[in-house]
Amino acid sequence: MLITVNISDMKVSSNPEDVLVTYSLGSCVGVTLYDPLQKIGGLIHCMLPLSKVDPERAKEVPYMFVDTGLPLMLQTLINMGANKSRIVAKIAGGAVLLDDNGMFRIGERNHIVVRKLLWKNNILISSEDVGGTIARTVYLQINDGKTIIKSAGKEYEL
Amino acid sequence: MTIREKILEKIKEVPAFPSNTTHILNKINNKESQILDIAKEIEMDPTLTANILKLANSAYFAGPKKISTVREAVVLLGINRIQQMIIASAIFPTVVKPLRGYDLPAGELIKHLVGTAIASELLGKELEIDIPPYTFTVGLLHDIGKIVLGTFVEIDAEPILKKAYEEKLSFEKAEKEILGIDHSEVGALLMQEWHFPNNLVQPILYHHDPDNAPEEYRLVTDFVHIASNVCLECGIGSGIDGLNYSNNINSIERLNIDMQVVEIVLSKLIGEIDLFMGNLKSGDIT
Repeated sequence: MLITVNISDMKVSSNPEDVLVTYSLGSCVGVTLYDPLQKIGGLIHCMLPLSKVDPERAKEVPYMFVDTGLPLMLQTLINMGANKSRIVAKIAGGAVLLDDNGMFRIGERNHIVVRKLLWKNNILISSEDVGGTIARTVYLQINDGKTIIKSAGKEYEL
Repeated sequence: MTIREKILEKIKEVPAFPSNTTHILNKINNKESQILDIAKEIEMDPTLTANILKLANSAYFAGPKKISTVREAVVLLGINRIQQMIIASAIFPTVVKPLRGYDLPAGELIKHLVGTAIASELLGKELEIDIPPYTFTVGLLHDIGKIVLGTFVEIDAEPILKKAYEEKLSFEKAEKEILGIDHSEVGALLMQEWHFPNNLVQPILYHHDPDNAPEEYRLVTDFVHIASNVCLECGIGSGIDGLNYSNNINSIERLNIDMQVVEIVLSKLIGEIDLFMGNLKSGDIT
């Protein structure tokens, strides 16, 4: 089944027939975590790097922010039986306007916070496709952990 | 015939705005019209009435109050909101369709337009700047030119994208180079064709180039420019043109926006869009 992950949302699955998808990542960042042995995976679509901008909102919608959402996804996967030492991460998104005039830089900061958190948790980042001015759609196949990116009419494996 | 000339021809083929809608909008703009007369006129059009009641009962406009007649909507929400809803109701059936030329699936353009309208209001609140109510309407309409280029002309975006990447041009500049016209100008011309007032036409024309907007419309143009970019940045309605647009540094300075304001607006935006769209599904607004 195709399961959609909306903006500020996260989904996990251990059903080999499932494919998780999130559409149109701009400066938002999409992260897949996958345990290849247990075949358990998750996909998150975070909009902003740090929850301190709106702590109340972070309580209602923790997946909006990388610093509240990503640890929650990791914990959910571990609770489902994934092993932290086996989990591999892939990162996509973090795009930026052609000339953002230094104002938003949200994509770049999203990416930095994701890397920092994964590093802190000793999780391997096996590949990433970030930055640039393209919007990306990300698929995670639960049966084999393959992560597919569709962007600007092209399709490739991450 | 040049591509530009062909596109100008196509603008004339776009179905006209429902004439009753234009009539009511003009009536609203006429300061002498009585508000309850306007409500009566709307009530004579069953489709428009149904649409307005659906929108008026969306949580974005009404909150928990239940509104069951146009008259109640006019009195409780004010005539400015009614005007915004009439415009929304008129464009909905067109803007929920997929936009092939820009590789936008069904429902994405409408999200971008509603998102821009709402983001401009959120920015106004956050910056404590009073923006005129028609800013929301400009937000709803600003990319209307993409319908002409994406559906009626079905532009081939490849050469435009190539030009944009190779020369590091923003997408609308590349459009202008390849097609001889960009989606802002197409939108403004379409609005003129539909006899829309200048306060909507000018900000649409300059939404990627606010410095050149006539002074009296510059504030609105600045707001819509930034609001639209905030949405595109976040992937709300980014098609094949992606994030290939630029922030105007002078707009940023004029409005005195910083990163924190943008983040606060973004943190509220998605929820507000959901409130607006509520139970509206494509085909729901007819």
